[in-house]
Amino acid sequence: MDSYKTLGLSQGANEEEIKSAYKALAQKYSMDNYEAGPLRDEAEAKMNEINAAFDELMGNIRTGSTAAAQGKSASTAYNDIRDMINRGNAEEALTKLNAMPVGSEDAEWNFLVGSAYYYKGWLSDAARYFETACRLEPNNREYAAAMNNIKNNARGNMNGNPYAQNPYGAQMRGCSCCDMCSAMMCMDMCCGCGNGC
Amino acid sequence: MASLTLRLLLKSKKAKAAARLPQLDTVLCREMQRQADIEGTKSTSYDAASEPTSIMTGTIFSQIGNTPSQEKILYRFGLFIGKIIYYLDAAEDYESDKGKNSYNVFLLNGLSKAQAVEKAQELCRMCAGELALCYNLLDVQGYRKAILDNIVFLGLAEGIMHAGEKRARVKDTD
Repeated sequence: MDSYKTLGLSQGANEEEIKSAYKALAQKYSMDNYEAGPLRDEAEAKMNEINAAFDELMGNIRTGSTAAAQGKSASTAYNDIRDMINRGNAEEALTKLNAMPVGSEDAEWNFLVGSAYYYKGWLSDAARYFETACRLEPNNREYAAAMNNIKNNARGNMNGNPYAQNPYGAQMRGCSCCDMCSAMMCMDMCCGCGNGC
Repeated sequence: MASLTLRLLLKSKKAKAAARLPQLDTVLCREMQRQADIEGTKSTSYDAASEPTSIMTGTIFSQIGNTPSQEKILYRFGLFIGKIIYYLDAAEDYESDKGKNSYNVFLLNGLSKAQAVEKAQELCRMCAGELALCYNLLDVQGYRKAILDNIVFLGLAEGIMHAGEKRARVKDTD
């Protein structure tokens, strides 16, 4: 028996919607209307079906099994999207995440959108979504680590820096980005990349 | 006249390069067009605005890798180089873009020159941090390491510190 269908509801209806639908159907099939007629048994059967559906859905809400089932389904979708990002399909992951129903934007959703943007190198947008994920779930270490990584970079941290603690305050000789590109290309021409780079 | 000669020379060099690396030429042409499209829509996204440049530099850098793994690392390395170049260039051109009413992502976000410089530095530092992660994976060895370490960890940081400043042009002494 599909309890939602029995009560004329769509999947995932909330407690208020369930109660309201039940009330309307209980009035419709009230035994008072059929007591003296030939359809009493049918009405009783129908009412039993409605009661069973109502009990099941309300039971699910009380025990949280509906939420758990929904959570499980979202979790499966999120795992698929994680795999997608790890395989390098950031664009596809973003399409899937953006296609999720409005209201699904929980902490994990924000984290995954941030991760997809991070994968693409869109650090500004990644930081925005990581920040929201951290705000929604402040105790999640994975989200915090992702956010801290970008924040540390924004403060000037460069992993593996062999020089002073703060490269932005150390004494340096002028090399711009363009110099860097030129240097890399020149060195490649002179030395080849394969043996050390 | 000198400019026309240079342009003609570069045109012929470009044609030769395109014939040698047709796939690279395709990417560069496509991204140049995308840059124009993004500017046409007056995008205020820092990431979107810098993406064509970053894809171009990423693709160029990936060409010097000798293995698929190196190509992948160098692509991401180049990606962030491109973003840094874009942000520094946009911060440097802030005033001239404002004067000419040209596209500038910092202007479109309503930032003052000082705010634009600050934002450019923040964005560049984010990219530099990621770039360092790529660089570390390249595992550069020998005498080249000292030179490249200097460029990556010091030179780049200096460039970012001077965001928004006009770079001195080297005068032709010939």
